[in-house]
Amino acid sequence: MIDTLHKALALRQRGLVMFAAAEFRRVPGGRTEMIEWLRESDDPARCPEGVLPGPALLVGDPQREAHVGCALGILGTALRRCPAREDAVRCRFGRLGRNPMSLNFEELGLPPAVRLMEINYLVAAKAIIARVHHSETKCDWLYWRAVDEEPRYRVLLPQEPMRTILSYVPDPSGSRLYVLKCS
Amino acid sequence: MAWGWAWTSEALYEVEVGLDATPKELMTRPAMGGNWIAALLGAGDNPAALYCSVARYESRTPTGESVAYKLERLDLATRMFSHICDLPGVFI
Repeated sequence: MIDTLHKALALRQRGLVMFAAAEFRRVPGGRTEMIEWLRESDDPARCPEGVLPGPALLVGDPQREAHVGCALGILGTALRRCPAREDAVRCRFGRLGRNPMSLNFEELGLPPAVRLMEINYLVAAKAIIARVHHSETKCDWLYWRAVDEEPRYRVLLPQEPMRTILSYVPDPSGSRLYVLKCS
Repeated sequence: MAWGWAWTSEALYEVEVGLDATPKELMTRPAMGGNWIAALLGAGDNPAALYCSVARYESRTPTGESVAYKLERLDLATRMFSHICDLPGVFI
């Protein structure tokens, strides 16, 4: 059973859909054990049973879920770059334990009183997209910054108070986004 | 499921990334009836599709209305959803 589904990624080269997921289990002694999975399916009808389970990576600390989310963000990048599944797995395992989200808000040019929720690099657009949470409006907003230009983020979408970003994903070429908003 | 009750509208946009980006609306929640997209999980381009977790109302039960969460593929050309697998909840 998948408890937390982090990513679903299309691997165009293999015609597969990859799923990065985390499963939380109660184990003897009252501990919560978190196991990450890398799953694939070339036949949607067999998912999630037709899967490739990965080994347990993090044990006994569900508070580290955010770090796992960051690692899975790297996994997404690795999967797009590595046509071979095994390479992608090695990329991911090799990056675990580092902190890829160590960012300086002043250097980024983001406004104060925001909390960085997610960051993506769009290859074709040579831009960085950041989803930040505004404490004043209590909404998630999207900012973008061209990599080769001044280090200043600009609001990407017309944003209205109380109308927040639910989620977004870049397309595989990295030139556009798909954004889900709600109010 | 409190999330569904609180949302009065929902829209899916395609945005070309750049200065003065103009979002193009692809779909609004009323187009999906009582169902809604809970999250976008990934994008594929062969053919162009989005992978979403989708909440779908199911028949009423003695304890109330039932909502099922599913992983689905949204074909951007036809705007049709196809089922991939069931999910145990909205958390992603």
